[in-house]
Amino acid sequence: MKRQMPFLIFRHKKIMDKKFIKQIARMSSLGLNLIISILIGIFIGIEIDKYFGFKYLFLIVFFILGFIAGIYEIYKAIKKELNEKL
Amino acid sequence: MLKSPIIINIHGIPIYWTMTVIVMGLVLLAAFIVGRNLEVVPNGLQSFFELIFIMTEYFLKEIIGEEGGIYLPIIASFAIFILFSNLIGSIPGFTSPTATIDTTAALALIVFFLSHAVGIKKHRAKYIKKFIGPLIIIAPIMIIIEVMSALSRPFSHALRLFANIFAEEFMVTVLLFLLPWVIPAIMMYMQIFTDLMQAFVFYLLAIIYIALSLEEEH
Repeated sequence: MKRQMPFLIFRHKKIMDKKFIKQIARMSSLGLNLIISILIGIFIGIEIDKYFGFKYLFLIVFFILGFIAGIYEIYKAIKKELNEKL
Repeated sequence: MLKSPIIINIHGIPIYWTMTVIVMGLVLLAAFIVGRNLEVVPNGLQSFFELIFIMTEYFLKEIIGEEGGIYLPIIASFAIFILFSNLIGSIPGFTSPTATIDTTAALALIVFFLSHAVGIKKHRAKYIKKFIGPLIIIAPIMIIIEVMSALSRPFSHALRLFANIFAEEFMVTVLLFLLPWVIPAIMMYMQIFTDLMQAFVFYLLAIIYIALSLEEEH
């Protein structure tokens, strides 16, 4: 038995189809992810600097890596969306 | 913060603990009332639970696939628990347990460990392929990058729900100082909308994170 969708918003398929909702949820997490991966990078960098006694070498390295991680997440998400549509 | 005094405040126990227990009791009570007399044509409360049940089933089938049906109990209970605990903040004398980072962090950590455990169970040793990236030569850097982006997920997952629920309670307080007439009431209506929206987003992201670790790597 195939169930009908019970809720009203999905009746207007053009406005709120399922792909659109999926995109909203995924894309809205990307901005926060970028900031938080940079913060995680800074935290790891500071801890490694303390351990090895450097002043700020690993802080810079992991800051850049965190930035790349955030951008890479966005890249993957966009690539996935484009592949699904084609 | 300027708020109506909390009704149940046991000394030595954090407020969000008692609030979490109250929400759990409410959900259990509602489930008991609904489960005692189920009807073919559902009445108000039963149709609300059926709505969440059918919606979760639909999204799991849509995003994860046919194997997604196993996760229905945990995801549907997330939806009901978060929705109840968001909405209880609108009642005077109560606060949302999700307005502290502890509750949301616990929920996000459940999703984090569950998604990776499920991925390892399905892919076994091939699961590490997700962390290596496309080229073998740049694998050492890619592992660091992928681990960092994997670690950032539970943080952003927990922080979004906490920040939104905390901010909307704070917003009403600030508006109360600025203009204590009509505007705070409008904001309190907006609260209900954001409560529903944030519960929905948290629950959809939980499904998406599980789906991401389940899918095949090309």
